[in-house]
Amino acid sequence: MNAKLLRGSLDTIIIKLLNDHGEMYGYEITQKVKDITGEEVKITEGALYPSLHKLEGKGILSVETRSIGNRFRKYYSITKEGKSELATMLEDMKIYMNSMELILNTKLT
Amino acid sequence: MSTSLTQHEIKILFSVIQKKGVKYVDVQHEIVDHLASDIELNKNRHPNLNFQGHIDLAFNKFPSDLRKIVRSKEKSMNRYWQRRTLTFMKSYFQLPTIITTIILYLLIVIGSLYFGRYVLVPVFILMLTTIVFTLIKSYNNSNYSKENEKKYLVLRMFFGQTITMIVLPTTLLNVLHIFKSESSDIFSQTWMIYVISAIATFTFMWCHACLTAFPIMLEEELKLKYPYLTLSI
Repeated sequence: MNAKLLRGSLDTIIIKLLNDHGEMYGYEITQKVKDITGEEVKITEGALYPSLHKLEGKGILSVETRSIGNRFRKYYSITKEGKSELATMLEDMKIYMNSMELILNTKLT
Repeated sequence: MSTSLTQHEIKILFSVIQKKGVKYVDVQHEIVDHLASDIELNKNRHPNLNFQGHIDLAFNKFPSDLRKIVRSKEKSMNRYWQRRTLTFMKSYFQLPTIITTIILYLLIVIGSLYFGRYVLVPVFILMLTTIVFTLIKSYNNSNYSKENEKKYLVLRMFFGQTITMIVLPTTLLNVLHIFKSESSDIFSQTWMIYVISAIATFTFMWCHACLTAFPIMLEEELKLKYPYLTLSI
């Protein structure tokens, strides 16, 4: 899938996944997206972490670090602000997809 | 089933990341876990590949310049501390603390309006003394060191944010001189007294937060997100 297309929706994907699956760590998010889309969508590490950090900075995600044997793992979860942000993001996405359908004259879903 | 990496292999990952320009330990931990998770999964897929081969394979998924990730972390953490500290400062404008804030502000304003420099000058001296005291106390209260600040982004950004806000009021006071009319002194301009009093009140509030609430905030943050960093605050 075109990386430019994905870039604009990465935040929405991350927040939706965390909303549905509870806490997740970075690598798990990349694997989950690959699994769900049958490897059609691959989130690059170079895009994932800046996005996670940005959402954490905004207070949309919260973080907890736990020891997993010989290393530490950062788990991300969605905050209350994140949940309300998700509703807006999904609504925006729906409007965007409907508009694209009209412009391209193709059913997208 | 995935094969866990050994302590030695984890150490190698840390040193590789360091060599690639990621100097902060807290950022290194996140990248190491990602690489380690990927390598553990790939060890089953490519059992004949050696460890260096696995490292190369895992690193291919990251941008060649890892500092892009570091920069994003710096930016977001700066924003994070700004949001947390300024959100806390709102409590000085909520009941019951707002009563103290208003009393403090009015004392400085009324005192300055009636007694001019005899109040403003001591307030200014007290402000500078409080700033110096807060700075010394902030550094001494924790096992904070310049070395730790270089190693941990969380400390760099926390102290960066809190200390900048301590020093900011003195800069603002200097800026006020630009607006001072040449014919009159600072004490005869009423609007200037209101502004200076507001700056002084904010400084006292910020210093108070630096000495009481912010260290607790940092300690909670370290416990939750940075268990590998033990600092006594």
